[in-house]
Parts: sequence; C-alpha cells; structure tokens
Amino acid sequence: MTNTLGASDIGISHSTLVSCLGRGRTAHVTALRDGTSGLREDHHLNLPFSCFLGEVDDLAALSFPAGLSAYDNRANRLALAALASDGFDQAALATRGKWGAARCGIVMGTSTAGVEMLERVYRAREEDDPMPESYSMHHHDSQQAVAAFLQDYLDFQGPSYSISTACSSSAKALVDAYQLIEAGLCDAVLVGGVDSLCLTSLNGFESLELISRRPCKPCDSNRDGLSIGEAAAFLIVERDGKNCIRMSGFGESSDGTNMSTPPEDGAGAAAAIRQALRRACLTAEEIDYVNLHGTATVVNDAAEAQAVSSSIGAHVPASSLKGAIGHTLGAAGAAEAVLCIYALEEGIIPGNPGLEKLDPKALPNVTAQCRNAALKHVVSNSFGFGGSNCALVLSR
Amino acid sequence: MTQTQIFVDAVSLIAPSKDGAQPLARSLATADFTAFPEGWKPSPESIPARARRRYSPQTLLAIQAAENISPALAEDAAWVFGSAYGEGETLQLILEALRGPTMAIRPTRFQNSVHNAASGQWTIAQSIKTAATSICGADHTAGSSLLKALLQVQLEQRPVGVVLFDAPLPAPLDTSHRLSCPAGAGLALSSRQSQQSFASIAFSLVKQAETPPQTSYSQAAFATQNPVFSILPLFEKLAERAPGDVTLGLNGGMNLNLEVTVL
Repeated sequence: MTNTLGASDIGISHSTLVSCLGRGRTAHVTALRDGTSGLREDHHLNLPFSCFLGEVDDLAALSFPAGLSAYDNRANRLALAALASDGFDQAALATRGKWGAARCGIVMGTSTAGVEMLERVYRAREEDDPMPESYSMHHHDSQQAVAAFLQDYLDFQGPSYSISTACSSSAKALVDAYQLIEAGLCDAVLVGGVDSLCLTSLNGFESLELISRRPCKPCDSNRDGLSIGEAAAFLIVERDGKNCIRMSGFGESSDGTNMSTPPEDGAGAAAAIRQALRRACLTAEEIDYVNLHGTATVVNDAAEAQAVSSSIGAHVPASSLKGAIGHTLGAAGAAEAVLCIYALEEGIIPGNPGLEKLDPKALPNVTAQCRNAALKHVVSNSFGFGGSNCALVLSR
Repeated sequence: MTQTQIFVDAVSLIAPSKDGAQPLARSLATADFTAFPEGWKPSPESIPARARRRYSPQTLLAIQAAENISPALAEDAAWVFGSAYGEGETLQLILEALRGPTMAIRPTRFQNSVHNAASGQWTIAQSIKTAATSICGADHTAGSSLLKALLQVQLEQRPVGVVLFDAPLPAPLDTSHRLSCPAGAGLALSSRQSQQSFASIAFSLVKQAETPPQTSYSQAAFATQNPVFSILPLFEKLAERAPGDVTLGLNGGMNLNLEVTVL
C-alpha cells in the first residue's frame, strides 16, 4: 500500500463494535438497515445542560477480570464489552497463538482514555486536598491506559502504544497497525479506538456552543451541532489476510490553520482523501460510498462536502453515521471503519439517521434511508482538533 | 527484520545544564545536569512573546523543540509528537472548572486540552499541511514515537520530525504524575543521505533490555522521571561518534534496537 509489495497481503480478519446501538455485528447491521438511532436524552451524567447522548447500557454489570481491577474505569469497561462481543476475545487469543505473543502488537486510538475516572476522583476530593494515593494515572487517564489494559489482558507482547489526535485518533491507529506489519515488525496488530462519555468532552464541546439540544442531524438544513457518543471498536489486522476486507489506502494531512475549525474549502481533508485514493491505486469513480465524518456542525459538514466534491465528486453516495451512534470522538475512526466493513459485507449503503431536509450545500447523494448496493471500495473520513485529517479506503 | 538505513540529520535537547537549556550544543559527556533556573520558560521564536500566555508550557516546549530541528527537514516532512503526560496543565484547569456548579470551561482551553494540541499548534504556527501524529506510550513514549517515525520514513520514503516533550504538572496532579523537570527533544530523520546527515540507523525489535544511561548527565536526567530522557542513550551514542547498538524501551516484551552508524 505504501511502497512495498507485502502490504497487499495484510487484511482485517476480525472486528467488533460496542456503541449505543448495541454490542456486536447483528445489533449494528440491524440498526443500519432500519436507520435506527441510539441517541437518547436520558443518561447517567449530571450535566448543567440537556442533550442527547449515545450511551452504552449495562457496563456496570460486566465482571471485570480478576487481577486487573486496577484498570476498572468506564473506558476499559467499554473495551471489555467489545472484547466479549462476537467472540472477539477468542479470536484475539487465537491470533496470539497463531503468530506468537511477541509478534502481536497493539495500537489504540483515544482522545480521553479513562479521564472519566480522574474527573470523579478529582471532584470527590476536598478542595486543596492532594489526590488520593490510590489513584493511578497509568491505569486511568494516561492515553495509554486502554492499550495497557488490553496488553495485560490479552498478553500481546509486541509494541503497544496509543495515538491521540482527538477525533482522528483511531483512524490513524489503523495506519500504524498496517505499517508495523508491512515493515515486518509484527504479524498481527490489535487496533481500534475507545472513548467514553466524560464531563471534559461534553462541557468542552458545550463551551464551543457545538452541542445540539436535539439528536444531531448531519447534512440537514436545520443541523445545529453534535450529539456525543461513546464506543469501543477493535479490529485484528494480520498478515496473510488476502481474502479479508483490507485497508487499501490511507491519507493523512494537517489543515495548519485553526485548532477547531477547518478551512471553508476543506482543502486539508481533500488532500487526505486524494492521498488515500492514490495509495489504493483507485480512481474517484471506483469509490462506491463515503462514510462522512459528518459531525452535524454547520461549518464542518459544509467543509467536508467541499472536500469530497473536489476529491471524489459530488455525486458519490455518502452518509454520516453520527445520527446513529453519536460522535464517539477518539473511537470514531475505528467504530465507523467497523460499520463500513459491515456495509461492505452486507452490500448496503447506510442511511443518514436524523436527516429530514437535505442542506442544498450538502452532497446531493446523501439519503436518510439505507439501501442495498454491491460495494467494493468505500472511503471513511475522520477529522480532529488540531486540523488532523485522516481518510481510509476499505476494500473487499 | 528491516535493514533499511534511516539518516539522522539533526538532534536537539532542551533540558537543564550549567551551560543553559541545550546541553547537546556542547556534549552530554561534558555537560552537568542541574535544575532549570527558577522562572525558566520555554521561548519558541514562532510564538510571539506576548502571545505565549495563550499556550501551555507543554505546547511551548514542544514547539521550541520542533523549531530546533525544522531547518533540517524538507517541506514534505511528516511530524511525530510524543508525550507521556500530554496537556496535563490544561487538563488540571479543566478539572478545577468541573468542580463548579456550571462546569463552565473556557472554549480555547478545551481545544488546547487535546493530546495533539502541541502538534496542532505547531502545524498552525508554520502552516504545515503534511501528516502529524501525537503518540503516548506511557514511560515508553520516546521509543514508541521513534518507532512510528522510523516506520514512516522507511515505508513512506519521506523525512520525519520527531518531537518529544513532557513537563511537570501543577498540584494536585503532581502527586500521581510525578516528574520533576521539563524536557523536550527532537530528531530530524530522512530516508535519503544528505550533507547534513551525520549518522544512520537500522532498526529492529529485540528482546534485550534497554541500554542504560552512560554519562553522569543522563543518569541525573533519568532521576527526574521525565520520560523524554529515555531518548538519551541514543543521543549519547550519536554524540560518541562511534558505531554501535542502542536499545530503547517499548511497552510489551520487545524493545527497539537501533544499530547506529556514524557517517
């Protein structure tokens, strides 16, 4: 995919996803076909404003692994729920057995990891008190905390690190997973993204006046901001995966203009998409579907429409899945890559939950409802604070 | 394993010594480690002095380290930023705001709280349009970030700037995030040898233990628990101007071996 011959043999052999739509493939495919949204106004967080969130239910009921209770926080519970779905934990252990622990790496994407635990501990202290000695950054708010939990739980002994580039984190993690294998340093990599609901993200986006009071409406004329969600999504990328769905191309760029607002013409995003097509050796006409980053803010959706129009063409079928699962921040790239894999395997173009009246400036081929179509190549976009852009091409 | 040669075109270290904040300007072998003078602050040239209060100490440190190596990098260079603790100072201010009834956070504070705030601000300051990433590998952030950069140079055949940075956090986070000295480091790497190349690296993963620090400077630096200093065994080897292997720590059972050749 880059400059070596070996990249074409690397494939995605297993995947799993937990979001507000449910756990595992069946729940998500059913919701994609039905156009279901998992966003709800009732949630567990005590916020000073009302909003709809994509919250995952029943995480407290999970039994945390004995001996690893130091890692117990919401982000790692999301990870645990994903491992337990669709037999992914068994697939991971089989992968370790196949290649050997030292040849299996981990790359995780996250924005906040277990900062939700830090928030709780910090707020529970009396003012001016020190942090309790029992609190461990390593297990909670370090961006490496989820990867460290997974490494201890699954005993993958290859390199393990985390990408934290805000909302592009776990899309970029897939690039690293491929590169570790392509360079011959790993035979398999557990890659993915995890981010939980937390006060920092929610109040932060509220401060930027970007949180909608309704379920978000990407690409809609009346869109007015985000709905935040939480998710854990994992993929196993491995050598000799020729018959698997694969990441056939990737593109990364920086806007270099503003921390939180893209340029109006979406130039950075377009550059990432063009790179991804070039690496995949595909023309724009060969792209069957674009999973938009589609956060439902007025500015971001307009810039992305410009970027897709200029790099692929305005009439490509496209949709945003943020109306279904919310914006899952650092987990979004991996979560939506898994949803794209489901779309490729099922032969469906997902709809755009929340859409009622298409914005005239949006891509014209965005429709609310899911439809059947044989897909071969899809593009998935992920953009983040800091002007961080990543586009992936997934192919079957 | 790979035998690709990656060329080192520049290195930089921002860390205290009796000679100032850049002991590599002399030599790690002769530099003495000491505390930064009280009130020392990073002072990157690309951020006007009056604007610096809008940036965290971590971001300013990272930008200064990036500035030190950027003259050695071509325009198409990608950037790898690595930090174990990220924007902890900004996080602490947000945590304090979350204790209040309104939980009101300043918008600029929130957008600068992300782990990639430093890389984002660097790309903005320099209008950089290429790929930039931000890596955390806990105590092994230096090795993990260098590994990513080496992969990128090898597979994408492009120059890559590596920037490592971490700075102490304010109370009360300082008790659970212990490090006693700020530090920044940079490396300019390239897939092609040029006149400025002074060493080459071939990399692989090995089971052997990390290379311990050799100089008294590095030993004192390690004692500050700043994960940036994990890069010093490589800098010592580069400064020796003698060929040999250096092993940097990674998470897991394998470490990053660097076969260094002096040019």
